Amino acid sequence: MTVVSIGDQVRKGTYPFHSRFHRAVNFRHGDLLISVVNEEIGPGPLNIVVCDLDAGPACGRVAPLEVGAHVVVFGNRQFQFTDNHSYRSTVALDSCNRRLFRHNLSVFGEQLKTMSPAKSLAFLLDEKRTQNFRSGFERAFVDQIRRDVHQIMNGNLLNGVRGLKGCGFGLTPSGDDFIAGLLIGLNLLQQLRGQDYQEIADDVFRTAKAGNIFSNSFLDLARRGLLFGRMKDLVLALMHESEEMVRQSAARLMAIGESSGADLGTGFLLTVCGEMGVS
Amino acid sequence: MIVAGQIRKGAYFDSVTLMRVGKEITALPGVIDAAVVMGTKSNKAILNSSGLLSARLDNASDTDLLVAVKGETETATQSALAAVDGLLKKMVNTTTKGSESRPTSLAGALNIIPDANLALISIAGRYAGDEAMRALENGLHVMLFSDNVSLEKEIALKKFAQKRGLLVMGPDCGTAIINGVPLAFANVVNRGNIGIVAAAGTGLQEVSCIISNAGAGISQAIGTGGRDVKQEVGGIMFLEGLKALAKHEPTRVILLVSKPPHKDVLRRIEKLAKTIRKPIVTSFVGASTHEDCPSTLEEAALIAVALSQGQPRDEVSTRLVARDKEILRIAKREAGKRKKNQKYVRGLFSGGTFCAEAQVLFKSLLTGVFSNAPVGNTKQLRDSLVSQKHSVIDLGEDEFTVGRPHPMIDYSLRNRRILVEADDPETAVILLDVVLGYGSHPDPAAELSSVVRQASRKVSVICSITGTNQDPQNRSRVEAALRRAGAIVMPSNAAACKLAAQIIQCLGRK
Repeated sequence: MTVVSIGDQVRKGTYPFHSRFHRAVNFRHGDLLISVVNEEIGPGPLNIVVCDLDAGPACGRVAPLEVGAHVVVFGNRQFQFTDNHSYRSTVALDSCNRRLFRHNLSVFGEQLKTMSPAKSLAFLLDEKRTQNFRSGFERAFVDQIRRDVHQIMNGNLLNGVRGLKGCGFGLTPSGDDFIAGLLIGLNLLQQLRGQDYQEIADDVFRTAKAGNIFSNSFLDLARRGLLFGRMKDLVLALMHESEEMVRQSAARLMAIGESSGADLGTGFLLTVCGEMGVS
Repeated sequence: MIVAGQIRKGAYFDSVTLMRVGKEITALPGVIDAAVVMGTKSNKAILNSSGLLSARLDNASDTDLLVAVKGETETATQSALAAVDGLLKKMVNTTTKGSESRPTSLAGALNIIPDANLALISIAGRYAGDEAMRALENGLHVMLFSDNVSLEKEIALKKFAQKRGLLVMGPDCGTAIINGVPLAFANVVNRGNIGIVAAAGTGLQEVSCIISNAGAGISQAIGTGGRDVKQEVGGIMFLEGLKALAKHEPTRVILLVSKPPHKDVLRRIEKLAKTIRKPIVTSFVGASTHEDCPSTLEEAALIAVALSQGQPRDEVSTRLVARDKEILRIAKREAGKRKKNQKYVRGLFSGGTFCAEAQVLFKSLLTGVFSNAPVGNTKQLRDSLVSQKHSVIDLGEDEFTVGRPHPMIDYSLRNRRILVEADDPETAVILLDVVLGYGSHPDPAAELSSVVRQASRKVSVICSITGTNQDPQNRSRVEAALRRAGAIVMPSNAAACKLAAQIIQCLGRK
């Protein structure tokens, strides 16, 4: 195993074990999680990407993670890294071709509508997709999401966020993923328009924060405009690349979790397109 | 109706697991509705409004996992809850075993299904011919998957069938779709009004998937086996298949797919085609046919789609020309990543038709192309195991498959070759086909991802995927996994080949 990259928000310190999945081992860092992940998960502000990680079945504790200057101790093994391994999680948007960006956003929207998983929040972009939600629980879920997003679109941002938080499927529930997308979108608009939306983002984060450390960690990074690799790739593709690159980046984003990537993408798209009334 | 639930404290499962387990529970007998979600306030509200919230779940916190079940009876509800542990552990690879009768002879099968009208035969070649004849004598159409059936036997079977108005699809026929039922290596495609006759197995899969993915559908897809269009057999079944589709009312457009037929056979096909009033599109990969004939399987499939929907065929060319510009853009980007001495493409194909199509497309774009299964001007490789300059390898040829499974099923041989080619400092592009559907490997992404990830650090890895989202492997999932691994995934073999060639051309100009 070797270190492939280390996120720019990973600081020196010792972090106790929190949880493990097949492709990730998580360590607690206050209200955040530092994750040792494999290349498939990829880089992130708090990710340490290592080659050939197979965390095995989700059981058993791991010794605390130690991060020093250019060394990581994981599972009682030492791994060296250099400054070249650092993953920068911010995006500088100094030269944005707005026409290309608008066009690429529509390409991304089409990808979400046609390629995202059946149970994703892309039904907010295409009403026909609600047909994928058939059980009583799923129909109630759709109604709830619609209601809360409607609130946001009508200016009741925090009420909407309050309803969305923790709502839906997955370890990071769909609603939380959507809010993370909203926060990333806000940060992007802030840079594009040269306006300060940080206070709004902080309010959204405070409202959305709950007892789920996975969601909290994810939302906090989003609030600060710190992007994981696949989202950063998408943002850069939207700004500068061809349709094919946008489609490829969108596909990589949508492959996160069962519907997490698509849910996040939906929140991001609606926010950036100004549909949410928050910008 | 009984509602019950479980709280699992501190149990962390990833989203994919949670959603699949939820789906499995909902499908259990006697279960009306179910949900497996985190115990957040919002989720409890949704559970409440959908009648799934039991008093027990009300105390759950955000980090607890909730399992809620609404069953028809107490037993059904409790059984579903009891199944959760097993489902969480086994999430993947859960199979439902049904009772299945397995007759041991054709006669036994006919006893069980007396009104059957087709037999699929897949046994050792030396026995397959006789078994096929027995099936024909019983009035059954035959799909003969087996190879190594003698040429004499094939001719005899086909002449016998022709007299009785029956079809013999094969020998060595890998795929067909009859009345919506995929046979052998076939994909789950939309039903529709395009009928296909094909003497090229992966060619049939490619066109049927492109048609389905474009929103149209297949009425019938008749395979004939590649030898049918050779001079000796004379295209007996290719012509019978064409006649059958001409008479088949739901078929509005006919698509013919083959490697180049013998010239006498081609003449017969053209003569018969002139008597048929339905539009006919031909894709004889590598044959010198009329100017307006499609140049690739993809173009042929898309023209068939356009005609089936009453649109002009010219639109297809316009769209593909626009797509070629996009290909050139990607090629320039990829060429920029390659080093000075990287200059060759290495195609590693599991589908013979794809290997042939690659050679046909490379003919006008690249010089110095070698293959173990040369078509046209392509030169014969000295050793199939060692690439020379631009090499396109058909890994389904005998030298690779004797004593081992076909490369669509067993990826190990190709995976090793991918790494060898990636290590060659002169390799710029590795070109792959990935064929999905029944019979193919159940999880090609898992097989390929690791080697694609390693190879794509050194070379451009370009894949085409033949499949649909309805296939057991799910095209979108495979595509996403391959992209994650670093591959460039193109919508067809033709597009993948064009991109590969364009990268090489861009490198040549560097």
